[in-house]
Amino acid sequence: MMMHEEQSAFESMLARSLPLSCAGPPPRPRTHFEDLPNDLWFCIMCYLPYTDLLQLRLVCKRWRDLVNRPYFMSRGKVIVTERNLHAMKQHVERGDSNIRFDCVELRNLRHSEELEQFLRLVGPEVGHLQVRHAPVFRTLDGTMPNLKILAIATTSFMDELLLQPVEGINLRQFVHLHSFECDGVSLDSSQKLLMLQQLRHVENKVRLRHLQFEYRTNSEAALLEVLSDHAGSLEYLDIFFSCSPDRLTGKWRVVFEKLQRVHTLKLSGNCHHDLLEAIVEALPAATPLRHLDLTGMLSLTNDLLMLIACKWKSTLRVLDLMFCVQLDGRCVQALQHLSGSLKVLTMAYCRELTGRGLLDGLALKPNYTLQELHLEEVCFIDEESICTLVERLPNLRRLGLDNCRHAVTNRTLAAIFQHQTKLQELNIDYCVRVTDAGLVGFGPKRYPISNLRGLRALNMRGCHNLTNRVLMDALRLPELRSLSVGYCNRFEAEGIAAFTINCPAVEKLCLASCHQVDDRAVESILQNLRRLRSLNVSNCPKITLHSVYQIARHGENLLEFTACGIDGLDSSAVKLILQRERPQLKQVLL
Amino acid sequence: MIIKLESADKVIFESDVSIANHSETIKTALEDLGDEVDGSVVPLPNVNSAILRKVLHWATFHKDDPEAAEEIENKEKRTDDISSWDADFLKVDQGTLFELMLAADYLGIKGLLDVTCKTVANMIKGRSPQDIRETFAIPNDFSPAEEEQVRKENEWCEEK
Repeated sequence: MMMHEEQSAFESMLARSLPLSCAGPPPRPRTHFEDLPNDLWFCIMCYLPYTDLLQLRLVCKRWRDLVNRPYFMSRGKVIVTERNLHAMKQHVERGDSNIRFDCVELRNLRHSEELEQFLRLVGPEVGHLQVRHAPVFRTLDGTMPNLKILAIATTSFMDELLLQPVEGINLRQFVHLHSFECDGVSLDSSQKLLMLQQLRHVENKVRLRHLQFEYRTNSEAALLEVLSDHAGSLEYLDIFFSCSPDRLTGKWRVVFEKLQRVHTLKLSGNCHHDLLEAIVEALPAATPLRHLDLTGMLSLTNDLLMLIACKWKSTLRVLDLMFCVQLDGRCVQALQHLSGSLKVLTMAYCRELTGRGLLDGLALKPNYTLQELHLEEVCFIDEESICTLVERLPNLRRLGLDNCRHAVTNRTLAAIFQHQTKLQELNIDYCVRVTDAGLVGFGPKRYPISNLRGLRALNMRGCHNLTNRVLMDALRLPELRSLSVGYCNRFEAEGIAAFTINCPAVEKLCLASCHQVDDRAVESILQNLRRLRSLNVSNCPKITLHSVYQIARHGENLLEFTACGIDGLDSSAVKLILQRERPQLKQVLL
Repeated sequence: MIIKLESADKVIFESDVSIANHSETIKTALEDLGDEVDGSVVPLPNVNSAILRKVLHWATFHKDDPEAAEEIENKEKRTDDISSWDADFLKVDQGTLFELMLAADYLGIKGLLDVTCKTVANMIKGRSPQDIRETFAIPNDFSPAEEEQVRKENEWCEEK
């Protein structure tokens, strides 16, 4: 109706503006993609996710070169593994490489001549290095003069083949370093202590903005000294307490009082209540704390959360309280204080929370600021409250309700599909009350899941009442990139074939323990999901080598294949076929 | 106040100044004219009459739109929020869509440029390179070796 009126208003306007002069009939528009200047394609590409940009590089040279601009390519990193090192080195040596090495991950690598030569080639380009399960510090020495960011993860201090300890890294060589991360399971404590000591001002003039480190009793003095030395520049601080510090909190107070610039603070592990309280009290209220992550802080009380809410109400946007199990109905007041400014809230596993409390805390009236809410395993929330909650949080992008069995019903889904039209990720693993009707469209108005046009990730592991009907009639999601439906035992080849047509953009698919999934299903997956990068069919006993041959034939884009626990599948034969036919696979788990 | 706009093919359109002001380009031209706006004609040599007609249609419908709020802190911009009126309006052949985009860019109409960009982005999202080539009639100018090289590079890259 509206449109008709508009149309006629426009027509009458046009009637008034009949052409006063006319030079022949108007030319027909005939514009081809080539006629659009690069600037406009650039505007269009700004709307695309990284994986789509990679696909565009394959369309034609002009687009390859457009996507190669640092603006886009800096969203990605290059992953060097034992499998691709040789090819990558040759590629760079030929001199026609289109990729940038400013962000590199070294994954599953050991020291080798070839790696050393490769790092000498690309090292000067590297500004950001991630080391994952790759004890290659000796090889790194002297190759990366421009390194600014170094992150070490899951890298053992033992060379597993030679059974010798690896050498640590000398951080003093990186004169531009501003970010350093080393996770709790990497290296041994004496190597870590050495690295920490190299970051003190007496050893090194760098100014750290970003630090992630593990607390151990033996490194306490060095850690406090590093924090104190870099207090003027630190913006991001993440400390994992692998053991509990002593009760003397004064020295921590002195250091945290100096941290004026921290916008992100993450504390995890064995941080006792006295220390947590000391830190929260000492950290200046003027610190622009934006993101606070207290995952697993069993010592966080309702009162302490209230203090946090009062102190940083105006700056706090992201709050992660997963496993803060002391929090209960009394934390509602703190949430109320923050609602209206908070954008992301995680309270997964806070099992004492009630639906009523959450509603009062987050959405007494509609809350337009909250964009992400994670309530996984908060299993006593009720259906009524969650329905009202999703109605009053209209701007959610991500919603996690795994194992909220009472709360997530077909009616709840209808409320989500009606009100959460901006949702990009929905997690309802193990919400066993959900049936086909919930996804196809439940209730008098029938809101189907296809209302969520922008949905990119959907996790429905263990929703075992779902059948082929969901795959055939409900999942019509053009933007869906990731689907996980483990333990949905009623999904069969016909349903999966329909799904591969209805959701063509899927890149990651997990069908683990879907017992009816067979070779025919895998065939349609590989034939129709042209962008699939990761496939998991673990525990699908009907899968045979035929599926593996399908990967050999159609899996050009596949990077990860997981097929654990399938008795009838000869794993050495699978490995042989995939190594020969699909050497690009980064990970094969059998 | 009514002003006159002249398209590339010399067709003259009359438009309310409040609508024409959606275009930064026209707005600037009018400011340059100062008091002599009345009766003068703004030439728009880069837009033909068929497209200008559509652009004015769009601007008329959107004349009361509020200033769009910037969506900050999202690395990737949304494309699923095209209004149904705009979606209907943009159900046109590809050539017209591109010409609307060029016109929106030339005329400096941000809202129309955004929504046309989103529409084209949606034609690309989730599609394979071959699909995309077919959609836009793009010839594959890679040699098999070059294509293989890009494919390899893509395998080595991942989002940060």
